[in-house]
Amino acid sequence: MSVLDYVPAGCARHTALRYETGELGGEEKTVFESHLAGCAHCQATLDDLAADKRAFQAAMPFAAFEAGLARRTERARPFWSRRLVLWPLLAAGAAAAALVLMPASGTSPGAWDGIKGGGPSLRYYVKTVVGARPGVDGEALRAGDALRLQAGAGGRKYLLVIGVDADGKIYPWLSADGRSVPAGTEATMLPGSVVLDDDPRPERIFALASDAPLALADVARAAEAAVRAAGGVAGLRQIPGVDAEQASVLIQKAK
Amino acid sequence: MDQALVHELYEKYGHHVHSRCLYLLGNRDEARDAVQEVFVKVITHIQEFRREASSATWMIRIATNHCLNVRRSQKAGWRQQFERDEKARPQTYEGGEGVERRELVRSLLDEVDAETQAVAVHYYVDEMSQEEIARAVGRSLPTVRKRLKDFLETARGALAAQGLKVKVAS
Repeated sequence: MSVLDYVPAGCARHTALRYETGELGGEEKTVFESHLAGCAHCQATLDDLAADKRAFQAAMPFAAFEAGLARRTERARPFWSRRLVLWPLLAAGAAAAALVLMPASGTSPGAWDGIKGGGPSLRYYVKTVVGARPGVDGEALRAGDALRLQAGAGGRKYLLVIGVDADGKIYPWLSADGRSVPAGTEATMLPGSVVLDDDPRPERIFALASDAPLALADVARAAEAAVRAAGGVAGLRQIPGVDAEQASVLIQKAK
Repeated sequence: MDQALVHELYEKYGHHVHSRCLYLLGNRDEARDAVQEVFVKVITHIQEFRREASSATWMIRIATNHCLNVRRSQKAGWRQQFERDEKARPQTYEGGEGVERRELVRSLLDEVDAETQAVAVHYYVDEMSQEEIARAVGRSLPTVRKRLKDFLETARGALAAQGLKVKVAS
């Protein structure tokens, strides 16, 4: 086990790394540079770090790196600052469009919040590095968790999906031109995903299924009043005053 | 997104983050994805980054934790550890014992809990002092020492179970 019976000597790689990034200063830097002058090991470490840098920047040139980062950070913008999600197929009312049905794998009790056999359906998936897993209504999620939604109108003609925050402010997940969209016959995955911000307060997502399109502004007023009356979103399973069947899920934030 | 900031982070820390991701994930495509995810986290928490005494330590810690999380999420059936380790190309900073140590540590990570994984990587791969590790992971020095002791005990047990001969420490 001699290879793991390791005691750091004076040549810690991390110190060389901090020197290479320009982080060492003052006396610490002077001491290291003096040591470096006579240490082949640390000189080799710095040479290797330089080689790593060349290899990394060749494999991930800055322009492409930055572009990739911009795409990811756009998706990672705080929940309520994300741009309006448009669902082109439904918004265009393209009756002939085929809707992709997302297979519901790994269902668990509580994952569905909707009326079986009728009424709107709503479930969310938490995105992990290796795929998506069904979320559980009320589970505590973390800032940085990415969510996707699957929603259906349960036989009604129009669907509106909104998020409501602890202040009663709404954010549209699925709408077009400030109104509900024509619904398909099956529950489908909404395009895109959002990443939860670090606001610790819960949020609730509603699927509102109706026979006539709802106006987002009317729903917003009703939601704000409802949240105020209920003192938050935790217990608010329905938004009163909205002529729609409703399903909702609660997004709790881990402390 | 502040392009100047991103460029500064890319120049100073990109290769360090990439090296860490490649070491832990053993797959170049996954490592590239992970580097970007780490940078998203850093940019999202840039105020915290600026408050850190050692930005380099903080970046390495974020990258380490991210990739250890990825490994844990992969463990439940999609990837075999030995495949990952076989595909990983060893890094050759010092050659010999240093490489052997890093390879051994990586092969044993799944035998220990999350915190011990991070401590072991920072100690054996980054060669941080125990004090630096304590600051990086936000734990006390005795706790760090205990995690290292736990790792060594687990390592000895795991290697003995495989019937591996080990060198006797001189």
